[in-house]
Amino acid sequence: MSRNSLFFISIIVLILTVPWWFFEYSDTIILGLPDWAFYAVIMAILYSIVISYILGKFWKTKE
Amino acid sequence: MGLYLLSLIIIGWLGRKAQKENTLADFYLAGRGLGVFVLFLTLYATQYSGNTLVGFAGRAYRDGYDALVLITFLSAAVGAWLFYAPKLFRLSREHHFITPIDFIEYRFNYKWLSILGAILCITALANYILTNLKAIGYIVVAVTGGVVPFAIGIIVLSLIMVIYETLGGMRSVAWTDVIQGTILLFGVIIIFIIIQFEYDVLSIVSDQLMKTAPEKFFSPTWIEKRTWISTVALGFFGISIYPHAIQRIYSAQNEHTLKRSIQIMAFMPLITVLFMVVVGIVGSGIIPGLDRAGSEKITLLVLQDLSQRGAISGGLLVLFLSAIIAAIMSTVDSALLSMSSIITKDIYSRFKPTVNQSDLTKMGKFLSWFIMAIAVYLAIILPQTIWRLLEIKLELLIQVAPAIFLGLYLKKLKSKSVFMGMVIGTLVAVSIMIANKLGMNIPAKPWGIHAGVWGLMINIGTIYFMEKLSGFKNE
Repeated sequence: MSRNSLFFISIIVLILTVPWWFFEYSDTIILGLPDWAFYAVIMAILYSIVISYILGKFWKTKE
Repeated sequence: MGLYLLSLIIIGWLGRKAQKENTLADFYLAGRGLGVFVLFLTLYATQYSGNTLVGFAGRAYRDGYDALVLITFLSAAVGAWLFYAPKLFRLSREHHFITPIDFIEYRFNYKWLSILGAILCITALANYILTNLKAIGYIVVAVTGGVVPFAIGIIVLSLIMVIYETLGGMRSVAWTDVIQGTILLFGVIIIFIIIQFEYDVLSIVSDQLMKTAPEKFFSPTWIEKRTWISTVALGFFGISIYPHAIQRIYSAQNEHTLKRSIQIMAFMPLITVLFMVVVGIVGSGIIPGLDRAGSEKITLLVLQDLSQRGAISGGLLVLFLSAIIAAIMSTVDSALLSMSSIITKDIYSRFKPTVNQSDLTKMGKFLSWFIMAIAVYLAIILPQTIWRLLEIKLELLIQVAPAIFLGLYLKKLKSKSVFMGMVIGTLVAVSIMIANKLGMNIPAKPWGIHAGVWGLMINIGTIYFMEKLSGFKNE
């Protein structure tokens, strides 16, 4: 996968951190969080992993 | 606390002793020699201010789970570095940049664009310093139970900051950030762990909240979702280009050091912001019914509750309170240093191009004292209503983002297009905010989008239009 593709993916993941597909009241609780809040946390974790991965894989340093 | 403050002065003196040459690069960028450990901790301590520890928990208390946006708000800044930090670092080495405006000057070579960019950066930094000084005053009053007055707290801590900052510049600031960042990191982690044990798990709190505040369980509405993505955009385009953050990019020992530091920073919002949001939500379950002013103190109230229960010792309480003060100081000293560098390099030296590096560095130190004196005065005397007008730092700073992001990647981008975009974007953002403050029928966030983000969209649109127009003219 090219660097530009991964940069694009990072932007998509960032946009997906918003709980777009959750509506109305939620009484589904996962680890103490309503389902949409749990989704937001999981996506935030995923975003951090994606950034760190892309940095590690595609930033070629002289050292 | 006294020992901690004394250690800062000693570090300031050590920073001065470590000075290699009397140049702007040595003073403002620690000679471009920060290693991974110091660079990471200074990035961390600078990024996370007292607002993180106090304000974010307060927001979570009031808004509930919606405050989780703040995690991505800060992660987005690291995501933005992914796009520009590697290129900008290499250019900074090649062309000896000191400030973010040095890149804009190098890339576009247009005086008015550089000056406007400098003004926007200075305005954002001034706001940052003022709001954090005010916060430090309130916290000192709270911590000492009113024994140390608001004004004295601000004056004493500001004096300590400006002393170590002018003694050793970025070296002192970065080394003090190592202490401050460590206290901050450990403080947040320890308090989070104690809260988990003392108040049972979040599910207990969520059961209580379901009964007392069921509205917190509604997922965001469409307008709230737009505000969510707008907040993320502010983080991506605004927080990432804070001048003191960019100067830390310049200060890295080498590219590998910078890369590793940023990789670690990618996870810090999860450890810091998420933990503080949990503190706020737990606080809303155990101490319900606080008004806005009360909610801003929720971190301290939860700590006091833990202390009364015997869950934390006096030592741990002092640790966390020190973490709050450390977080604020690490942000103020960095913003002050950055502001002094921009005024010295990007404004003063324009009028005095023949002044040598040593004299410019002296001017920078003088400016730090001058800026801090004014900031302390304003932080003490400005009424709250004026403060509301000052809450416009990111909305302005974000207008500089196209110059950096687009300037790095679009070789043919013209300086006048970027300048017009910056002018119009700033005018749009300021107009929306002023109109709202004056009570006109314009919301602070039209359609749920921040004024600054509207300004940014129109900024980029203006650049696009200007480029197309110049393309037609050439044909």
